[in-house]
Amino acid sequence: MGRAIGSLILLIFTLPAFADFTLHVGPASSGGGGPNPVSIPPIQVIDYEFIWVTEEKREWSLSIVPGLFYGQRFMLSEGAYVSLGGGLVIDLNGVGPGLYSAFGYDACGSSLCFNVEFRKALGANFRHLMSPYALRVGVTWRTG
Amino acid sequence: MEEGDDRFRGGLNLHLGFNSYSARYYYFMRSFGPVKESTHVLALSRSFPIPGMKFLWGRLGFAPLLETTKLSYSKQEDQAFDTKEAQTNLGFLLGVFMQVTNSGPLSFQIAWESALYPAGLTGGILLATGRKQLFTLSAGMQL
Repeated sequence: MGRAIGSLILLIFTLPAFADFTLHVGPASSGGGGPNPVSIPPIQVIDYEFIWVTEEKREWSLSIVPGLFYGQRFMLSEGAYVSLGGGLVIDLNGVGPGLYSAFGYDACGSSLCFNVEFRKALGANFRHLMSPYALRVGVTWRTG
Repeated sequence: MEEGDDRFRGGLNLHLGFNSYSARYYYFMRSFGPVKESTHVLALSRSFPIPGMKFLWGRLGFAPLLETTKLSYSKQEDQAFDTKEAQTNLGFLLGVFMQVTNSGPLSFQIAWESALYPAGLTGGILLATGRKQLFTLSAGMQL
């Protein structure tokens, strides 16, 4: 298990296609109504999100809420961006295909950036429209 | 409009724009029994093109909010309990929209926007928010 994790970390370091890796923490609104403070200490898995951005600015985002997505990041200025794409929307009312959009900002040093992002999704299952969202902050590590 | 509970209800939108700046007013109302709830959102924003996307634009701005709840009984003996309260908040507007114009002055726009509000001062620090999610289909004229 340790070797597998070590190999994965080495792969992240060496593959040039994976340019940025972001770890976010922040509360998600999952369709139950009302605001949700971030957990203190931040140990709830639902508060976390991982984002992997390639050199071509294609991004994979993984979180429990709003879900699992693949899309394109469009840079607006140095640091500010809009992301659009689709994937699997996850909500208290179910799981289903959908679209997402995100607005974010990176304030960067040499290899680490502070990141804040608002991500929302719109999806549907057989009975419901779902629209979860999350406002999160975190750190972006630039490998490229 | 959707308010974090995956329930959507209809309302009215008015748009006034100048170059890339716009003022958009949203009004939603619902009544159930003696309760009448009104929501007013005024979105002051700037639009910007999304690089590489011909018909897609982004929108960023501020969104003052006014919500009023009025309790009004029809029976005279209950009217002593009539009340009215109002709540205000200031949030951020973040959205994307698609705009299509014909060869004339007409334009059509479909927008997916979120007005994000802090849940009080301490709630805002802990990233607790409330949201008015706004889906708009509009037709207008460029002057």
